[in-house]
Amino acid sequence: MACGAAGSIGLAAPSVRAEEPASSAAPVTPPSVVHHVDPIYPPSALKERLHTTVMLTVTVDADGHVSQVTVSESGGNDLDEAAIIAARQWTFVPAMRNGKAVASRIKIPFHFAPPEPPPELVEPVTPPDQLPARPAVPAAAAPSTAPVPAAAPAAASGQASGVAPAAEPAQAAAASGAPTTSDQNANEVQVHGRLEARTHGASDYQETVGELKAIPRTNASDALKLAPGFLLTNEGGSGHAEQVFLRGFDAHEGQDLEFSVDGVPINDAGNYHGNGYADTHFIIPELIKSIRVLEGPYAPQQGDFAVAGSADYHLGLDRRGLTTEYTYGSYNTQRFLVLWGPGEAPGTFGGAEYYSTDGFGVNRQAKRGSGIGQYEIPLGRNGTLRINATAYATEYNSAGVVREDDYLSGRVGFYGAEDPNLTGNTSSRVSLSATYENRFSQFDLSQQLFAIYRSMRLLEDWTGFLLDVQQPTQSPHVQRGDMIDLHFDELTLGGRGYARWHGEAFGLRQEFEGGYFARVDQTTSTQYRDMYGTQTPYLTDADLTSTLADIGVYVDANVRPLSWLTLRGGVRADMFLFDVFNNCAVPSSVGVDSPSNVYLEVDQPCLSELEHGLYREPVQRSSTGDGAIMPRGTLIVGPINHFEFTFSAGTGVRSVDPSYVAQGLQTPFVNIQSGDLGVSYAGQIGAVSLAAKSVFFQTHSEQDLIFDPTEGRSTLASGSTRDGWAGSARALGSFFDVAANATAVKAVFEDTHLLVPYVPDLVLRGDAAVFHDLPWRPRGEPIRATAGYGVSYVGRRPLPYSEFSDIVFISDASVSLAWSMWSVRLAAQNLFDSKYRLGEYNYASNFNPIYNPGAPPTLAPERAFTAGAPRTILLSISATFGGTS
Amino acid sequence: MSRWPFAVAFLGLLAAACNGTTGDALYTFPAYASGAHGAGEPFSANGYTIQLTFAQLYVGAVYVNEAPAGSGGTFNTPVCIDPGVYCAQVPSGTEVNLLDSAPQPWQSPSPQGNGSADLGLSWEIYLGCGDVNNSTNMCPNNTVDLQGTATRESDGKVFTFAATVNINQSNDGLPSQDPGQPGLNPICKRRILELGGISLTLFEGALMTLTIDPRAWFNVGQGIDFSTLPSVASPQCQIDSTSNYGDADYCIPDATNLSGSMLGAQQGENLYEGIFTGGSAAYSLAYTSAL
Repeated sequence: MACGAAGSIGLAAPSVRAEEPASSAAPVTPPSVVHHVDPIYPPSALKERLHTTVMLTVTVDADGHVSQVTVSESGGNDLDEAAIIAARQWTFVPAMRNGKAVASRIKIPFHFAPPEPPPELVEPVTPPDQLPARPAVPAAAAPSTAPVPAAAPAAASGQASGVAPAAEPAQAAAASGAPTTSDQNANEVQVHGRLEARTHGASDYQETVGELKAIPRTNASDALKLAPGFLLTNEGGSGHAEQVFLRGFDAHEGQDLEFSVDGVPINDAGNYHGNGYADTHFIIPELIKSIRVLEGPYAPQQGDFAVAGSADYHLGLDRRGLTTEYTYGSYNTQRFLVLWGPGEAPGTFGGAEYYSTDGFGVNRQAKRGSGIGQYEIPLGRNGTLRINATAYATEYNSAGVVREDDYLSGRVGFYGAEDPNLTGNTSSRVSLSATYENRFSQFDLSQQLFAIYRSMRLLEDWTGFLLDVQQPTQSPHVQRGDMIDLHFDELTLGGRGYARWHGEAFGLRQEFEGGYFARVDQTTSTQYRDMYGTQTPYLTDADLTSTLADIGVYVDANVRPLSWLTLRGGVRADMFLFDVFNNCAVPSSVGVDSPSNVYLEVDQPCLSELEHGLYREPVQRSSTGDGAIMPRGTLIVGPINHFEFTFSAGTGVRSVDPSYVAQGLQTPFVNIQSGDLGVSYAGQIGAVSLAAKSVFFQTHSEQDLIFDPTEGRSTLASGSTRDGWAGSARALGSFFDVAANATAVKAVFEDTHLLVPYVPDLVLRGDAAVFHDLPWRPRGEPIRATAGYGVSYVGRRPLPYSEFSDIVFISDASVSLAWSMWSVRLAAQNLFDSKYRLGEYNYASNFNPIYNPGAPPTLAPERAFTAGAPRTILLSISATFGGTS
Repeated sequence: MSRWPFAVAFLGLLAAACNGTTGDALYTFPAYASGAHGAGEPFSANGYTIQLTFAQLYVGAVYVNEAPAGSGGTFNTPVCIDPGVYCAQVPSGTEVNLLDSAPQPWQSPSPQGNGSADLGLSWEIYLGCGDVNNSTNMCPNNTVDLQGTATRESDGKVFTFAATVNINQSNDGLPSQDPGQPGLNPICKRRILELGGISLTLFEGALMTLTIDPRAWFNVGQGIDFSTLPSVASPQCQIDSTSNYGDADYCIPDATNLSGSMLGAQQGENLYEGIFTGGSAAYSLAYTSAL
């Protein structure tokens, strides 16, 4: 039986000892794994079902190859030999000192365990729900290269080897340059690692960006496409959150997808534009180390909004040192980027960017600035404290939608705008979080606290001049314009944590975890209707001040009665609290049938009068609360080498928009039930690592959210069911990284059996990167060439009124050269300049007063669209000082 | 392991995903308008035998409404537009020769109409252009132009008359009597003819025809007393600068009875009421597969 054994690292990370004298005080950047081979579990040890660790001391030459291996801690002759054979096949990016490659020695622990199915986390530091989980690259795996596919082979999942995978490479790298042992010509550094998240079935995608960073990505949301089924659209402008479609769900701007970054929530609770609105633009794409997408509510750690699933970004910086980058390209797009990360402290890094563009069409200008910093402090032998801060601000314009008939008649260009007044949108976010992680003999502990302040102003105009109907209490007027002028503020305080016990039963490692999530939000949402041209508000749609709370507690067991059988899961209970103060309980737009002439509320936006003149305060408070108990579990069966069969089932909830909260409302959330049946493969063919998954899924939502252009936001609809299939594959070799995924789904309403509009039935995505050193070595240093290509295909999306959208088929590509501290990159988004409609809608709108003033209003539904970006070419030049590149 | 089951399941799912609809459908259609058969023939109304020699109506737009007449929506409320209830529209204007019963293509590029396959139960004719609450009509033509003769049946006296109608705030607006409801009588309520009595669903390959019979304008309400009309040279006949009175001796003033004691104002109001309340006798809408 071939049983790979992975270096079990995490906190028990290797020490790095440069062979140069310790007196050369410059810090050493530890080597990072380029290619690793898992040891074979020796049959002789299999008889005794040995669980043991072999610690090797490995010398990595300046060219990145292993030149010498010695056994530091023996596990027995056969196991030692298996580990040595494997270690000799590893290759590295060599250790660096002062920007030069140097030989180094590192310690690599190989943990051997008899075959057993599922992946396991050995060194818990961060709650598994927060981690994007890198596969099994041992501790020495370090910054710049992380070549193992996410759904990695045996070493990663452990199902074939039965060993614990390793920690996140970057996090496992050296953290301090200070020598901690005295050995001849050696520096030894303490290494701190992070937990890998345990997979919760075949729909759990833990994707490392790795070399696929070569594919041009506009923003952090684009990284979602590494997982199957994502379609991103955006009608609101470059600072507006992407509209996300996943597995038959129109998650709109995040309402059905729980977003977080290193565990800190991104979804806005109580945002009137969309409860759960998730703007990820504050994340600097270069700082995305990996992303974990769990499609479906199958992990007890998933909370509110995890309807279609959850996505957690894991930040990190591969390129250590100080990197500066300047980008210039189409439409006067400019970007300044600064990244820094000391080589001796891989958990510490920072980055900042400034971006501006004139945009590819009318009203698409944008500017933004973003900064992210993380400081990691080692605490004792196994503990870490990470302080993370982010700040982000953007100002942008929105082109909005274009009516098809206006485009065809030439009144509005394809990249034009119906309403050119949608200027001055803003969004900002600051956050501060602290995460403490420690490992004790039988417990792993984690505690995170976070504080977030969010603010946004959004101007949108979906309908033009349609909604401002004459009311009796209003002075006679023409249609003044339907521009939505939304402002949202939110202060979020919260935390999450867990304790995980691990012990042994049935001769196998067992785990039991208990944790919590707590979040309290103080929010204000106002939405006005503005007059066309002047942006003067004339009507109040909403004015809500809300206190929202979500307290969740969960237990999550990891039970392995047999070596090939694992049951993961538990139950989560969430308490939701809503206290909503409506400052405009009776907006005048709803009209009053029988106003009196006692209270003359002429032209008042918020009425203080009921029918027949009965006085009332214009405000009203509504409060309610309720709980949800949600069982979730995954059965993992792995009797066949390299294969895992999984069955996952779970329930989830989506809290309701505060605008729907009524006093004493029962169950102010929507229940979701979901099930998956999947199979995954992870293995190695020669030097190529392969991972593939196939999943059939079904999800039932008792109340769906459907986008209503008339309101400019999603509104509640009836229950719906989705049936579908998703598949993905990724192959990684010494010079390439290729990934592809596909999702087919049918989503129907249960009462009418009609298709759920807007969600694509078929989404295909392919990414490929090739990388290699060129044969020339100026000044003895290699020139690294990288090319990336990504392609997306989105099938025809059903639209209201039985129509279908166009097919979307676009390609992105880049080429780059890196030499010494310099690199140059040429990227093209929408390489073939496809003219496509990113979003399409059928609804009533009337923009005639702008472009055709004498014409009567258009009141029946018609096609409108948002244009996808044309070809955009960007040239970037970067330099890295004092580190690897 | 055989991969066939997965492949078959995937293809089956893909096929299923490609089927189905979201319900309903969108259609476009050509639109026509015509006068009624016999509209150019003499007819009797209110003690007069009337012979129209010229009759034109400028239709600003036509909308079909999912709400039944009288159920609310745009009916019986100050709300003139109730977003979300319109299933068909011809959102452009056309000049209709009311004395010609042959279908006249709408005066805009085809297809002039569009809408969804929802059931329409009522419909609206806009007697104005642009925003229906504009104080001044933005149509390029007069809304109504009439010329003809009226012979008093009691004594055989003949009155050659003409009329022009444009619905503006100045001549047709009705102020609200309730200071708490200044928007109770917006001008849009005077410009939109609201009609019921249809059960119309769009389908592929059909066309819409609007038929108007101006004779009905004279047969509802109080009718016109042609003997009280002012002569075309009088100021009451100069309200519309675009009036075309031809050889007429008298005009029906484009004014309402709210215009005080203006000579003929009552007749102007009566004509407006005839146009406005002509109902199914004056207006009909058909959606058919052929003319």
